[in-house]
Amino acid sequence: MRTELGRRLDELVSDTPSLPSAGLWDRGRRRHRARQAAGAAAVVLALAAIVGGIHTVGPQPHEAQPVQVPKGTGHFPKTVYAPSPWSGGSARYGAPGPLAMFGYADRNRRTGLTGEVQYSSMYGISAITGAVRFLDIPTTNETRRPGAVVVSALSPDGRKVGFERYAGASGGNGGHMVGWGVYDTVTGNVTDLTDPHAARPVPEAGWPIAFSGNSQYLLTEYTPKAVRTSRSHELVAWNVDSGKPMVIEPARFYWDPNPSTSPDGVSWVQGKLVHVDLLNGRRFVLAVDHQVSSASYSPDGRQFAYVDGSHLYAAPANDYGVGNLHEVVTKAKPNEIIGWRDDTHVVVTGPTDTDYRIVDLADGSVQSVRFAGQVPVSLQLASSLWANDLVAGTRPPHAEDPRHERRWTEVAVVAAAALMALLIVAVRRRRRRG
Amino acid sequence: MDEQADFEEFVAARSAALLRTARLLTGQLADAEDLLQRALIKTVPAWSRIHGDPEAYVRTIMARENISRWRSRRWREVTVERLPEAAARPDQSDRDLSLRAALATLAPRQRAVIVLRYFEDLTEVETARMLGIAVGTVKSQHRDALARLRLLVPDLDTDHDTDHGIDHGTEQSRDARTVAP
Repeated sequence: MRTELGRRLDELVSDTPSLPSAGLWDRGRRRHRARQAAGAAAVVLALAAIVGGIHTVGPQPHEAQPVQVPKGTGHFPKTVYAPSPWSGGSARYGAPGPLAMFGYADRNRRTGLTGEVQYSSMYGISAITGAVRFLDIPTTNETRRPGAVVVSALSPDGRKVGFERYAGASGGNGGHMVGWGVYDTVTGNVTDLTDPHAARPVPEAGWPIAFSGNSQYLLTEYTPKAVRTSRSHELVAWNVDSGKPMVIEPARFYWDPNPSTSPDGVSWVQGKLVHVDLLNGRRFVLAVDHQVSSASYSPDGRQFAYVDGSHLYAAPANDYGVGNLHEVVTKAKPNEIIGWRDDTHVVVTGPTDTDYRIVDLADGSVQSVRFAGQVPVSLQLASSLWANDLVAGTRPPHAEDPRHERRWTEVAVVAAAALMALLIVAVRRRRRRG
Repeated sequence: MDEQADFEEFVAARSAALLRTARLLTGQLADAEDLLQRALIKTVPAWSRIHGDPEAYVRTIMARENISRWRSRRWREVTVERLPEAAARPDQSDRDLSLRAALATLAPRQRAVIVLRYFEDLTEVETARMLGIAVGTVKSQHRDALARLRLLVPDLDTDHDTDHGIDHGTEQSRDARTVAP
């Protein structure tokens, strides 16, 4: 039975018209699709925020970021530490600044959600802070393995890393060399060095790439054409700022030079000849009495020294001319000259990869230097730092497997979802209670 | 396309009745049209699921949507001295005007309870289910709303309503009630 109130409510709305249905279905479908898209976007954003938050509060590098520092500063570490295999590289933490040394160490990187790749990666030790960092240098176009092993060199001032660039994997596996590159350790920029006439240059096997004494040029030796013969290789200097190549010695006959160092331009040795090309039209050739395996002018150009087998010879120099050459009688048994501490002390390699000898050119006395710790096999040193004292090394922080971070992410996502569900239930209950 | 045709057929057949309910819930025809449109649009994605009884679904959305809308708008609304639809139409009596004004003073949930209980003839359990609240809340809201209506509309015979089983509607079956047109 209709009640009095019911009847009067009926009367109140008795003149209500009907509602046209045109377009309601389509609007409903559009609204549904928009809500689905918005929901999916919200979930993605929420997950991204959670992951980003965890990433932000995750482990951070402890060392200070490198800054521009005057040349001539920086030190070698007495103890060498390798980075923790799971630690991030320069792509994450930025350029390391001027390096004291670099080498190769075992590295692990995550691939996908659960996979990993293990390889040997380039790393550097800062000459300023002692910080240890993997170098994410594009030595190959395998993005999963930045800084993979290739022939490489460190400039005397520690501000440039020269390296061979490969398409595909390096050292075979279908890859081939496409040129060279220079990584700026201060800015993080990479300069590609590509010979337009050599799509697939063939490097000379016995020649390591080397920087000039002023760190301005990278000296390479290669055959521009794919077919290599004993007379096909050229000696080419690359300006590391402009990326322009200059042919120093064209292909002509069989020869086997070794890189050398001089204050300006580039230099190399061949047989009994020491060559210096200032790259301004001036070239010097010094003839000595011995087969030279390694030679060097001191940074200020006032001294010259070379090694013949295990014998060390030295003479005062002036404008790349030398005075009376004499053998420096020493117990150092030098093999290669790698730097100068000052005008009167030359640094040569010792009996092992971790031993170096500083020889006094006046009396042949020897001071031994040995790096302790995890010294890599193919250690490269910024030779200008021999002028400075060695300092204690900096132990890098341990880095966890980032997949563990992902587990924390999963926990955070589940916790966030549970919290959201609780909030929804609470809101609904509150509405029901009115 | 069959679903769309069914939907449009349903709207054509029942929109007048639904709009009357919406009008009582909102108090204004424009708001009622807006409320019903929103409810129908929200019904579309669920149409295949509620095909058997879409009207109850639409009414449920309207009742809850109206309350939610009031919650979100109440801090922005401006109090006016005269209700927009309180202006008398030529054919409206003083009785209608006083009841309309009294309904306008009720909180949305109280108003929904009155509309669902007296206009839609739903039981307390059905009203509670439709509004998503407890039966006890329906009772208290019903009691408070009736008290206010008695105060504002003295000639309203709510005692008679109560005595004739509206408050005992919990026990009523839907078949025994009058179905709104």
